[in-house]
Amino acid sequence: MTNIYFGTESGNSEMAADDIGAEMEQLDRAARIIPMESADIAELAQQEFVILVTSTYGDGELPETTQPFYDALKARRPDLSNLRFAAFGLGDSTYETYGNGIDTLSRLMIELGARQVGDTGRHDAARNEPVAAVAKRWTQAIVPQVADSVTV
Amino acid sequence: MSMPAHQTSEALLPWRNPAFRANPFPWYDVLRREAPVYQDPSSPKTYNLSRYHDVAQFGKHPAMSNVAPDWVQRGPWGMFRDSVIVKDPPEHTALRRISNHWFTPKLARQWAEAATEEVNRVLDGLGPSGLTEAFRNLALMPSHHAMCRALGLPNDGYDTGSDYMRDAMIGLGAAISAEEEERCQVALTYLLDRVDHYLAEARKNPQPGAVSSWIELAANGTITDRQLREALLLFWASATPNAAYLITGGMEIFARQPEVLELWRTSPEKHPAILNEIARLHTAEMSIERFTTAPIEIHGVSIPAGSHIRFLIASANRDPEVFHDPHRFDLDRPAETPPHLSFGLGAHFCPGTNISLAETSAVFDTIAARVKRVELAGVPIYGHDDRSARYLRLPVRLVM
Amino acid sequence: MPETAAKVAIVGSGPSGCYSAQFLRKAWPKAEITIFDSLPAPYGLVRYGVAADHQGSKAVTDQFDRLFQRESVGFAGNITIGADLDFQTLSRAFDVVVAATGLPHDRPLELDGDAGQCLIGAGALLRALNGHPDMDLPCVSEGNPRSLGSRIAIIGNGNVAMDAVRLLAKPLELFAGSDIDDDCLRAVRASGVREIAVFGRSAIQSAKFDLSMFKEVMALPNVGICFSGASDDDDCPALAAVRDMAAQKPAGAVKLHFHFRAVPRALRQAAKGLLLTVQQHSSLHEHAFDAVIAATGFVDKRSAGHPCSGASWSGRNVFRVGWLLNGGQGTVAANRKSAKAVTDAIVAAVNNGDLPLGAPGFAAVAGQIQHHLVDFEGWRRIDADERARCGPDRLRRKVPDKAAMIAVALAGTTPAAKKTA
Repeated sequence: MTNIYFGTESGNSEMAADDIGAEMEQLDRAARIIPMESADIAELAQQEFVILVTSTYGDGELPETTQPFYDALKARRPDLSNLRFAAFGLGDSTYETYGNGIDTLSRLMIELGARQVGDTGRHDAARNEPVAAVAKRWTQAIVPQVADSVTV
Repeated sequence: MSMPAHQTSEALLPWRNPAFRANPFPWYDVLRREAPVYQDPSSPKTYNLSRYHDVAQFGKHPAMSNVAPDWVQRGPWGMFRDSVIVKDPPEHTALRRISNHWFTPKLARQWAEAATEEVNRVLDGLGPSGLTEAFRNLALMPSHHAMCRALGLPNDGYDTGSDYMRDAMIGLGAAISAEEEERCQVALTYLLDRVDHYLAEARKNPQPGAVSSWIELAANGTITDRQLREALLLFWASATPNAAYLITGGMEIFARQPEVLELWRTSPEKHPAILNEIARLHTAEMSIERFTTAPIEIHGVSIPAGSHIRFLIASANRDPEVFHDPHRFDLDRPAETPPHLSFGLGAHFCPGTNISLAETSAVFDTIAARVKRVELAGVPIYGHDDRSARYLRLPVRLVM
Repeated sequence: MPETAAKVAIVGSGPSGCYSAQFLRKAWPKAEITIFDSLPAPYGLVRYGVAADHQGSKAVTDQFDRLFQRESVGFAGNITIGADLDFQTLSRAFDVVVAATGLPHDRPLELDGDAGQCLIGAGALLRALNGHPDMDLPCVSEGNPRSLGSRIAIIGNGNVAMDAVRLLAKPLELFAGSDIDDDCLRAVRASGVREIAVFGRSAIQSAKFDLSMFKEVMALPNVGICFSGASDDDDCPALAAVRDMAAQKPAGAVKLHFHFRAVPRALRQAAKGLLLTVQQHSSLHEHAFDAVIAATGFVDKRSAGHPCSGASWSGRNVFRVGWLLNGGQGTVAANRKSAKAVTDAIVAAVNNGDLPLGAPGFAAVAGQIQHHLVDFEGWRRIDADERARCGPDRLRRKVPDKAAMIAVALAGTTPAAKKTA
């Protein structure tokens, strides 16, 4: 069972998390979608593999529901050295801090010892590709990279 | 009689000034004129050389070493304990031979073909407006694709790798902040993890390519495991952005000076001159560093052994003493003009030089054949720091 | 289980209405939910308010499409509650009515002088540039807006003001990939915009714009920046940004002047144009402009009790959401929160028995509105038509005419084939 954590302001990240979960089901992997504001950090630290989804807000900041998740990780500094994670970010390249939200979160995860699987997925709202298509493609690229080393 | 190195209370190299980082050339001009051997007041063991002749001569000097003395705090890049970049001959020679073995003309051709495959795919997929972002789509990803093919690694994407590589390179700057150092550390951790992942996969499922052969060399003790990992990191992570900078620089020149693209099309004999001028004006790694193993004197300045020398390659490449009207793209420079230094010099000059030029040439051939005109479709966005130059975005319209 | 029978009517298909549908659908998988809109095209301000060059912000419609395509929410477009269907009938037919009708008008500005009626609302401008069928700008002839001249003042410095600056200053070629109404854009910019002055009454650190919007405007390649009414004591990221930009590009084809702590007092007509008197730097200053735009918020100017005004609808089962509820505050994300709060309250009310269920739902009103409603399929036909008729540098070309939109929506359908919600 893979936990997919999402943080959103406009609902787009939740939609992306839903799409990633749906694609994982298609690929025969169970997934559970968890809003970051309800996330249990201790439970996170015990996982083998998680997926993080967030957008960027305002001037490169974290969305309202991602910020407390980020702050909690930063304050408690759990040892994540047994954790692998994949990251999917939503942004709008019209703004120069495009994609910062997911990068800020990913860097903290790596600092805490977690290891990233695959490329950070990016949906750019300024290009007219629907989130579903980008999320699906990304999920299809990520899942094989996780399969062997980790029970998914 | 020895003269003191030029010292002044005002920094002639304001490393953290955003205007300097965006465009250091006005400062380099002052430096070459007034302080060709410049001892940075914030770092008095460092001597900065900015003139072409000094860089060219002393860059290859036998007393210049890649091995850092004990006083140097290497920061996150200190992890590169065993790689070629911190070794001197003869050990360096032995290690270097390993990559030279792979970097043959045949490989260069295959590399160029792989890159043009990607470029053709991008051109095939252009919309009716012909708009595309040239840095990522025509330079970075084609180079990465070709690199993966040659190494025998899967192409899992390089967007994240490229972002982290940028953070890592910023960590080589002359005066980085604590935050930049932290980000560099995270970046190198990420990149090394990717490398370890690829090595583990390659051990399980060997593919034809350089990595499998290097794994064997590590298995039979020719190189250590550490050297294997560090070599792969240098290739997988750091080579591609430099090649991409060269290609993108060419695309910007084609956009601003369409007669150059026309010349590429009509006059193959001009290709070397065109490539050289593009490379001279687009120096991806703007400085290189060495340490003196013996006392040395430059322009009357005595430099003790164990000093840190920074060769400002980008400055040398625009030295008006050597290149008349240095900021101009000029294909008619006199035949005796010395070469640009963008690929470095001496024993450590870029081992991928031929490959990079072959790839760039092939990409330009593809563009010249399929595209009538390259136009800028927006403002180019650069992301230079004080040590490396790079594009973040070059929006273009390709008129087919 | 009572909630499987809930019948919900949502009036207004903008973000507040659609988010309300989303949250209610999550809470009540089997409820019947219908969203009404007076226009044949859904999505309200996402389509007609968010600027044409901010396509990224319009991408929320992907989420909303799913409501209609996958989550069995009905769309009843081209139905004006209070005209095509009276509110009483609606509120009796449904268990829950969510009023998400927003605020249609620009807030008027109190200014001395004889030229108050010359003020142009920023909302009206943005709607016109977004191809809204009810275009409300001063015109030279039917449907042809007048040029705004070369010297333009904007009063207010929130995000809407920034949108107005940007749409009036941005080089035309940078609108590639947008869905701007080109006819309107060219018409309002026909004289060539040379200067735009923005007057905000607050100090720079309290200015209502998002920093990213402010920076975006200053980053335009053809502008020169200057500012006044801010000092070192106003230290904040916006001040650092404007100082930086003013130093880097003091001159440009279009001059942008940001005035802070500037309160407009009077507007008069004169030979040299419109004279705007502003209280700033402890005295009154007079500036001449060709057009003055007010970006000072939104209201509903219709009188109380007007049948079509959401403000006059009330009842035990009526819930307001979004701008109608909070007076015009907040962007898309803020209105999502509003929708969540309101729908939570609705679900709680049903669960604790305060709100009984059992109304007949859409079936009770279908007969009255069936023949001129535009359903989601009809909107998809409009959508396809807009995408097909635009040039290569545009995402779509909207039809700013309601009758034409309806014709496209109903094309190729017979009355019998039209689907009900």
